Amino acid sequence: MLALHIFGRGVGGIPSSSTVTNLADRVMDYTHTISNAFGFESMTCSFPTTLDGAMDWLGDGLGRSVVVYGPDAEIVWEGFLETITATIGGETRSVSLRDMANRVRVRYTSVLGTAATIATASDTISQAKYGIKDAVLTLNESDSTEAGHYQTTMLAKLKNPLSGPSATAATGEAGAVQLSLSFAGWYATLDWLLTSNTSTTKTSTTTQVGTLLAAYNAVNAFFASATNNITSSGITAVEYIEQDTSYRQKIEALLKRGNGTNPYAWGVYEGRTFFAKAYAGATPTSIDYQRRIGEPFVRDAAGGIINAWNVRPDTNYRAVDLLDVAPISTAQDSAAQFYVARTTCSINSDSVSVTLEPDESTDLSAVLITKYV
Amino acid sequence: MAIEISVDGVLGTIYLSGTAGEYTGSGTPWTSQSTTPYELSNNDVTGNIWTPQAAIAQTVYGGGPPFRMGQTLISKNWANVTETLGVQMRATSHNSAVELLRQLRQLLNQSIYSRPAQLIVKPNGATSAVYFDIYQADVQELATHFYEGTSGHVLIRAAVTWTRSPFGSRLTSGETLINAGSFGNTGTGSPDNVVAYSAAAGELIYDGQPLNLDITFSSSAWQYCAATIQSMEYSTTGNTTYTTSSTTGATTAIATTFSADAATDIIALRGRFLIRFTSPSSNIQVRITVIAEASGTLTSLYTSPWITPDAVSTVVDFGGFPLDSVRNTNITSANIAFSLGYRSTNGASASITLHNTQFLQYYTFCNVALTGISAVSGTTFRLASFVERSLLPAQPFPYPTAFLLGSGRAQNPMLIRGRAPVYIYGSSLYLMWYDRSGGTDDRVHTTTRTATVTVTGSPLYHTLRGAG
Repeated sequence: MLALHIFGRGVGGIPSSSTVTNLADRVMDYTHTISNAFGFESMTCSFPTTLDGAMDWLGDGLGRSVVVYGPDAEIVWEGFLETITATIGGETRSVSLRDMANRVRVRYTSVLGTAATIATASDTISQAKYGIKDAVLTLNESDSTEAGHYQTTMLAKLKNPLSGPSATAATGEAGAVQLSLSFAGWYATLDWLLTSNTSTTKTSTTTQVGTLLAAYNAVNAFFASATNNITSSGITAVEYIEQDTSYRQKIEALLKRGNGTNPYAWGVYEGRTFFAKAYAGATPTSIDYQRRIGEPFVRDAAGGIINAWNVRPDTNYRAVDLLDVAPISTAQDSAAQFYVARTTCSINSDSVSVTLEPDESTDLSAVLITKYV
Repeated sequence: MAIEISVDGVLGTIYLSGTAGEYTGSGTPWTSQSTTPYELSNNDVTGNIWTPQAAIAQTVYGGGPPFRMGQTLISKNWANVTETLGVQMRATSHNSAVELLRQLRQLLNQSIYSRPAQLIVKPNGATSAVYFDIYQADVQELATHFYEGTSGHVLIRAAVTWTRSPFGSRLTSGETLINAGSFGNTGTGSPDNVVAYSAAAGELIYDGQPLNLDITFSSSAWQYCAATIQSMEYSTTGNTTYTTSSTTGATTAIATTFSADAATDIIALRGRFLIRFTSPSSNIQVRITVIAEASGTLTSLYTSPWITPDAVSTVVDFGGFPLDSVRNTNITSANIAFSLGYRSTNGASASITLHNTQFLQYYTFCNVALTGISAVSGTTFRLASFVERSLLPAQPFPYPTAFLLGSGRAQNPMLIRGRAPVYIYGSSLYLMWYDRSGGTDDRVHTTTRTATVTVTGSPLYHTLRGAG
């Protein structure tokens, strides 16, 4: 059904083309989410393994990339391995990149309250392995020397992946060795680097997004360089960026303005390419997905069956059996349809399901479409 | 009816379906059915009464009451089979009987550190044996049937519960379905890029049986597409140059139709367009919109993503799409057509020339690519979905593997995307491949290339094989 190709880390955390393994033969359950303001968002899969197998993953698995292919050779999901959890007997081991930082800056204030900063400190070994991941720490009532000491201490602590909160040791009955891999979409790495800009010039918001991506790639070359999938917004915004702002924060601040008429949907999708365009809710009469309540799958507008793992957000979904009485033609959501902001696909031995969620601004219940054994 | 059942492993072969053999503590009487001290659950009247249990299909159904009548079969597959059979073993002493018991346990549990034992089943009068992999077995002697007669003859009866592969297969090799078939890298002429499979044996010929492909290309190649298809249709309609400066894109309807007749009946079929282009400018992107007929005003069935062709003469794969809209109409004929979309990525003039179109009604499709090394010629590209090794059952692999075959060894693993070809009754193999352009990853498509392909398939059997 799905092939989960795992690729090794290249230098600087950039995905390599070296295949580590294909998890298709052992995965017992699989879940991914895709959202309209992220793209490929999260993916988890779990499988039984041996003790040696678990140690292989725990020792060197973080930062590996995954490309999930469907039976049509299409890319279903793509991201990097952020957290590994192994259940070994009664114990749980978890390592994660989430709280790691290998380039640290300290901002401090003197005893008189004067703010200052010291240069960043880096661990180049960690950076060569995973890419650069920033952290800003604060220290009050100190000086540059103390800030330096604090920086060195914290860098030593944060530079390597840390155990996740689920790591425990316990006695009791032993069980099988179970491995759970949690992947994040590449969009999440836009939180890894911090930036700033003192310019007060006003520039096209989408042009700024392209510029920011290029600047990011100059440090962590994680993304495709193409920007022609970022539809021009036609509106401008000031280029100023407060210090210690992540690239993600600034990009979202720009894209949340939409095009001055309609909101935007954006995210990182196939080939680690950034997409941004006016959201599908702007044309609610253009239905992308439809379903009859008695059917276990979603169909496209022409009636073609869409596999659960290929259902995407930033689409308009309609339940065919529900007839709207005089719907507002410009309404994003109504009794019979809604704008899909996030999709969750889950596959296990009992079922294949996809959940379509509306925008968070509405209180419409998500639609769960499940096929059971 | 007596049935020859043996298990084979690293430790040798044991016949389980004996009649009157007895182990004296020396020799290897279990290696022949006529002398083996093992017997299956015995009935004085009927003799041996065990037969393999057929694997039960694991199905996923969807829909149903209260919303509709009936349910739709979505998918089907098979898990391992766990079954219990009674085995009795005769010896002239207690220790010899326990030796038989121990040997059975050893032989049936080799999977983890060696290879699975084989269950071999061949009823009397059958032409062929069928072979299963045994992954694990529990052997429990029955206290109530541990008989030690005063004469010193010992009979142990045991319950053997093993977990084995869901289907039986042949041994060592599959059957040849395409024997050194000639393929051309084009959808027209002779040879073209489609060769029909010979009729296969086995019980899953309508569900899909695994295939092994050995492909030798006439010149350097590094990536290929392989599909099990119902039909391939070739057209040169619309073969002209398309030019635009628009970043939004222009569209031209291609004035020809392609038959989707087979898809009106066969629900597993999907559609796919592969279009050959020449002279693409560096700033061009293309996509297609599939429509139900030649008219450009009807509802689109599928719109592909915008694709940037490699800057060489190449074939663009626009992706698979469902053909459900032509089903459940009570009409056995259906045509589809497409419009070609093209846009400039930077507002400057962009152009591309359409050379030909191939439309596939397919069951499975995959793309297999070398990574990290230059293209090679004269080397066999192997795509393996089942075991073909001396004295091993031709069982399916957990997932297909692809690699270069050099000096009799597997070299350079290749990345498989999509579903590897399987045998479906009445289907054919479609092949299309790319050369590299210099040292880049550009996919050059040359219509004059040829390839020689041998395809073997593994017939699979639920229980018995007969002459199959």
